[in-house]
Amino acid sequence: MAFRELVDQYKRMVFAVIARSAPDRSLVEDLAQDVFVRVHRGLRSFRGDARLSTWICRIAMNVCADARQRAPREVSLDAVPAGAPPPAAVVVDPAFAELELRDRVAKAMMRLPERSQLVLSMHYFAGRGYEEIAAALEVPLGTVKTHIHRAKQELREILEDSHGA
Amino acid sequence: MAPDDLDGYLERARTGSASTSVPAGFTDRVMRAVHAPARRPVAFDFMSSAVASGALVGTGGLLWLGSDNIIAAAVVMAVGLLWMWLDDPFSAEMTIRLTPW
Repeated sequence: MAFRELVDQYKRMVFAVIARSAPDRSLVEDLAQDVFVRVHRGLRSFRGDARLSTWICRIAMNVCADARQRAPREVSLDAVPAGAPPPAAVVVDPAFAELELRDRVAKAMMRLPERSQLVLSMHYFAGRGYEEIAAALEVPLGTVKTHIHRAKQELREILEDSHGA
Repeated sequence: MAPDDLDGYLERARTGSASTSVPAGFTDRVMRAVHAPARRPVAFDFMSSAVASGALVGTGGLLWLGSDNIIAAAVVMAVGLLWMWLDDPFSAEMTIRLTPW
């Protein structure tokens, strides 16, 4: 397969994963390009142990993790100084709430084990079905379902911990 | 976070992934990026080499002025000058054009 065909075939998947995991939405195109540059560089050493889609998805997640580490540290809006008066009730814009949720989920994903990150990203962000993930990871269908269920549970616990902290 | 929030978010992500749009010309942009020639880090090497050869010539000059051992001073200077010449034998970088065309 020529490299151009490979880019055409997987670019939608890469954009979908990055759009949900990047620290900043304006970076999506640059990060997607970075993913394919790394894929091009690594193709010679790609041994085919993993399916190409799994390998590319993993690279996309690593690129997002690197970008998050490089991004300037943010001050949490949840943190309320001791002794401060309780905030008045505010109406939150649903679009803003969705963006905030996206950011919290992306940060929590980074704290998951690599395998859990991979199955969640492939299923929910890249839109891959159970059968496809099972074929890519070379595991039975039931194992994929268990992995996804467990990974979602871990993600929920991390989100609850971070919200309670 | 309510359990429904996460489930809802993940399901929205899954259904939205099918309609993810990719900017036009993205493939061409990637192809240009992977075929761009790598930059050669020449400036730093040239600088360190120039400093070292210049230091040799300077040391030779000081030896010449400050001691009787002219032969040793001449050898040190000659090595420095030879090194300088080897860095840029035909002065390609030093070509100065006085005319604008």
